[in-house]
Amino acid sequence: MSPRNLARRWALVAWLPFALTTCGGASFDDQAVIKGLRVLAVQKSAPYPAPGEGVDVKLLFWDGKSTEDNPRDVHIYFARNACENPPGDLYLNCLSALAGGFVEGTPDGGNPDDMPDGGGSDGGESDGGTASGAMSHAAPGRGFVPIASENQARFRNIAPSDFVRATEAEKTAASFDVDHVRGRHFRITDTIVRPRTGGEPYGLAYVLFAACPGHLGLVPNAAANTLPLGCFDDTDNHRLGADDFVIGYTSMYVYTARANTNPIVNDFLFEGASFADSTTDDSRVPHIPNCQASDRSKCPKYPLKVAIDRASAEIDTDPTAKTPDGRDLQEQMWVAFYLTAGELKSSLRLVNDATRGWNEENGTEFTAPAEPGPVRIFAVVHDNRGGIAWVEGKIIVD
Amino acid sequence: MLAALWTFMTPASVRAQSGNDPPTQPEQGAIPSGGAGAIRVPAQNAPEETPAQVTPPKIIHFEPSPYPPEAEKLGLEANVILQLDIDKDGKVTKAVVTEAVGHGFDEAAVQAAQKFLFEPARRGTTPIPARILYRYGFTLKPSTPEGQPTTDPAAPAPPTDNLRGKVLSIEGDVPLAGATVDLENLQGEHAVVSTGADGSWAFQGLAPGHYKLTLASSGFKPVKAEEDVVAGSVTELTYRLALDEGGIEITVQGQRPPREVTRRTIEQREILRIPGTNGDALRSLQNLPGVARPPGLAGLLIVRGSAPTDTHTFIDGIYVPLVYHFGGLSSVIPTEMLEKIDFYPGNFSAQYGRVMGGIVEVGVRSPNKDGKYHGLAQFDLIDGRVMLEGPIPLLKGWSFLIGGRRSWVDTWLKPLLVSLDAGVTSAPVYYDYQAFVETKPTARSSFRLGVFGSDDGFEVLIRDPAQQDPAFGGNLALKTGFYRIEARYKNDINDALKFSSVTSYGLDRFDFGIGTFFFNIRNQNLFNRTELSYRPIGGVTFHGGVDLALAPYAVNIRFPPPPRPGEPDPGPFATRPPITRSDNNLAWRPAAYLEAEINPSARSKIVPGIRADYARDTTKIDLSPRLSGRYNIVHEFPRTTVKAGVGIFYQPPQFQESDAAFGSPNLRSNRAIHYSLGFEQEITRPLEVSFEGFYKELDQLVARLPNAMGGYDYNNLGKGYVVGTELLVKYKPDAHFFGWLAYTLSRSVRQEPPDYATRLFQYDQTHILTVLGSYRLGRGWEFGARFRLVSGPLYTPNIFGVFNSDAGAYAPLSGLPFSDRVPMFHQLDLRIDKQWRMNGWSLRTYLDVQNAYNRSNPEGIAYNYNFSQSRVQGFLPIIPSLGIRGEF
Repeated sequence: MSPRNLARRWALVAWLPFALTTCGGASFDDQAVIKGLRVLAVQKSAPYPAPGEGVDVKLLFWDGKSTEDNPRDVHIYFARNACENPPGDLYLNCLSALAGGFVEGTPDGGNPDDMPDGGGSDGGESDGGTASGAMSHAAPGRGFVPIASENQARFRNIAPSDFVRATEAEKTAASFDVDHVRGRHFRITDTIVRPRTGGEPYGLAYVLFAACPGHLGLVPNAAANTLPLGCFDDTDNHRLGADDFVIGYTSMYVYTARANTNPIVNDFLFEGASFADSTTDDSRVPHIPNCQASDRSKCPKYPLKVAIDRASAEIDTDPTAKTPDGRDLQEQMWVAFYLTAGELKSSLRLVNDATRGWNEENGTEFTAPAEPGPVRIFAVVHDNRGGIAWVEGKIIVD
Repeated sequence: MLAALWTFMTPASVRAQSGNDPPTQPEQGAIPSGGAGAIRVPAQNAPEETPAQVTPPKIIHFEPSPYPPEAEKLGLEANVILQLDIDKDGKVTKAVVTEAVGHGFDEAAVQAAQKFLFEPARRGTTPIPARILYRYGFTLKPSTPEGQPTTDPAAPAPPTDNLRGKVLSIEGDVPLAGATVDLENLQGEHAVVSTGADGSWAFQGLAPGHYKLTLASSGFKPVKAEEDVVAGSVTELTYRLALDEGGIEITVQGQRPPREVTRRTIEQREILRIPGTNGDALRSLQNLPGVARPPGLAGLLIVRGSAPTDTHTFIDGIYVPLVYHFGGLSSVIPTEMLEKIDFYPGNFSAQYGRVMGGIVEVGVRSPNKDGKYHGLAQFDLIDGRVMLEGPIPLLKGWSFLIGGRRSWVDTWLKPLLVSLDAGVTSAPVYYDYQAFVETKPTARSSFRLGVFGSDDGFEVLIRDPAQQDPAFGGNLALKTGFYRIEARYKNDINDALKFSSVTSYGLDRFDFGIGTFFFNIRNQNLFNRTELSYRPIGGVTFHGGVDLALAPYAVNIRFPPPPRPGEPDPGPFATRPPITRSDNNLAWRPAAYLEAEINPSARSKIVPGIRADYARDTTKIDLSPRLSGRYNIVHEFPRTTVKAGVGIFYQPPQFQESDAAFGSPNLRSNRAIHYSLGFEQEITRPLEVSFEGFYKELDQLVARLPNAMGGYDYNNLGKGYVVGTELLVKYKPDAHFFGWLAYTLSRSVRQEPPDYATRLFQYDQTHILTVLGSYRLGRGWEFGARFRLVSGPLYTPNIFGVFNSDAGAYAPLSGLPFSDRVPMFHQLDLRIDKQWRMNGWSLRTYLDVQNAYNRSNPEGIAYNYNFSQSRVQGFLPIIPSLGIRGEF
């Protein structure tokens, strides 16, 4: 009877990726190849923070349009405050409520002086030189504009003042001594966890961010149902497109007694040899020839793999995380590869399956581009509970 | 009384002659009555190639002959077999008696036949001379005693006809004179009449009750039928007989008005031959008016702008949850087991409920009762199936029908999946099975036991998760299945009282898992549909019944709640915490109904009804009054009928809507009010036009709004409407051709939370045009084509992408829901069949080509990873499908 309809709907959803995979999509640029400004990962120091816990948020980005001769000044912005418990757990409701719902409860929020102006941080300094925004929040439902299906101004409240620019000084970890990581500190409120039917109670905090090689501003005459926030060039103030502007979010599910740790990445292997230090040590940079063959299948393939600690695949402590036959569910893990040139056989690979365990074949193959030059390769390891870790390497195509 | 019966050669059997050519010698066994000079060739021995298609002559003027006085005086009747030479103008140049019968019959027949006029035979489009055999029959009519007035005003009125009709040749609806109509009552008593010159027949003064009819005419396949005679009303029937020749099936077209405003029936021959459907039973429904085109190969039934879940399908009167393997590959019951499919697009009888859309009633046929065993085996690129039927040894009066099917896509799909780097635990495979036994305990009753079911499954390890949402990666397992064990009993207790009941027990299983998400559903179910029909007076029949559904179920679900159609995309599922639900519960949905069929006159029928439904999950009773009616403005051929209906239809909420974890308890049922008005017009015997306008007012629709707890509050505040018209121009199957044109113009609108703007429903399709036809070329060849022109599916445009860093994928910011439409869909499908008949068995092969001109029909919009680029997404290329079937 009626339960099957839920099942049927999900079965259809399940088939969709197959249909999309098998029926095309090849005409688009490869997602793995970085051609513009991209945010690649956002790591939280505690993927499942506890109520009242402070969380360092660290963002990895790369600008494919920057060159050594002509670097662009990319700015990373974080929402002044995190967005807690939006109706329906919808991040869209955060976009609709940024100015209306959050500034009100923020000690220093809503001040036009906090407009991003080239690096000025607000929210107060925290220990270790990390900017922190005491996470303000709205009462559940308060200040939110429901997402309607009609042509209403969904995002009419969003404003550039909702974001603050993250600076070089706000890098929160020393894992990379690179200039394409930014961070910010947030603190979870104590009362975020709500009662819930059908699972363990949790609270939800979204952190919104944006990446822009210019400044944020309101889009003139934006259509009512589109995002009015845009990225504008600092010199001529023209609006930049999707390759130059990223807006995104990361979510933090907050449990009273459940934790999660980020995956542990041990190494990055190119043809079986470590090249994780290649970004800082030129002697570790592999050199390979370019490939100008028009038939790319004839180009040499170079194995590429991330060495991931198997302990990263944690047992889900959710008491309901059991298979139908009573076995514990593990974390689902996958790795996403990105690169600045060349090709990959697969850009996403399964690392660990919740029921079938570790996938040894979690690597991919790299094909050199036709043009010589340096190639930056990133691997971002995800788990299905918000845990993230990354590693990067560099090769030279001769 | 003079009657004529004629026989002519089919295209497969005629060879027209030039004026100088000598007549071809007849081949042995060429014609039942045999005749020197006959040139008839049985289809099974026909050569495989023919230089050009030959069309036989058709009579356009019949000349009645005076009854030979000598024979009339002696009370003799006879059939005269004539050999007619017809020139290319259609005139009879020569008429020769092949078997003289004397008494003046031969001369009278020849004299009359020389005045016949034919539409000439043709080779291609060129008229050619032809020679045919023709049977001229003479039958006497009961004479009125001399001196007795024909009409005596004082005498009681003569008994009026209460069962009458016509017998026609399926070839061009030519009246068959001299055919016999054998009527058998329940006591086994027979009465026989012959048809008149216009093919008409009648029985008078019959007692109300159930009768068997056998219609026979020399040279034609006999037809058996069962009909009811109702006191105070006239049952009028037309039967079309096919030539007794290989490869021609029989169509029996009763004209009893349905209990519903609109019932569309597809017969087996049509189902098997509709191009682009691979002979699939339920897919054939997608060609009818009011049914939208589903995306790709999906087996969804989208009826009059309603969601697929708003239409229920019954097999042998029993609700089944899954009607297609893997959502659309093929039906779970083979076409060869079906008697017919009745489809009610709206305003259906009170015997059906719990849905707001339509009803599909799939009738399983009875096993063959000719005492012989029959079977078939069919194989194509997707699956293979077998079927066997016949008498059960040692059980007199019992017969059986069994069948089964297994796909073999696993044999070629597994290597394909492995080559795509998927770990294949279990390659996709499906089965279905059916077994029925049947007997007739008495002349008035029948009893059937049956079991049928279906099973689909696969399990693969996806090592490349989906870029759009990495949640769709890892281990993917799907197993679905159901079975039903049924017992069906029918008894016409007496002429006024009928009883029918079907009870089934079964199990539905739905297991799905991917990554950390899964659901497992076990749904036992017990269904009973029982109806008692009582006719207290002529012209009035009451139907009362119950429709019971009891289903203990167990669900074990771990999934994040999916968005509803039209809602904003919540972003990738990959890292969202699931809702977990384990529950053992009971669904109990009993219903009772009462309906009356009222015939104020022979021209009209009014069907008021009321249905009461209770749903344990809503704890509410829904009362659904309904009214429909038909009136024949012109009762005789060409019949003109107007029809109308109005009624209330309830549909309980879905499980996830009223469940405490996923939804909100205490919801009410969705409600629809159906209005319809239309007419049916016979143009020629095989050609009929029907037109219908409909309006569905929808309210109490389940909708939802996000709440502060992170979930959703469900309500019954949604509303909407569907308005449209349907046109069907149908050429009913005859010996050579069937086909139809179906066009639907409609608009389906929803408004969910009341302060939301109205929007088009996701399944809205403004224009749906289907033209199809299938023509028998002769010598076992049949060619068919189907063309469809349909508005493109709606989609919600995605404007911008927001990066979800947890999943590493973008979530779309969407525009107005379902505000854009992909370009129009059009597709041509072709099918060619070839049948060879051997002694006692036949072999058929077919080639079914979908999308013959290989159009990249758009099914949606594809986006790049951050939704900054889009393009129209084509789906199916040209798909040829080859099949072969042996049958005995």
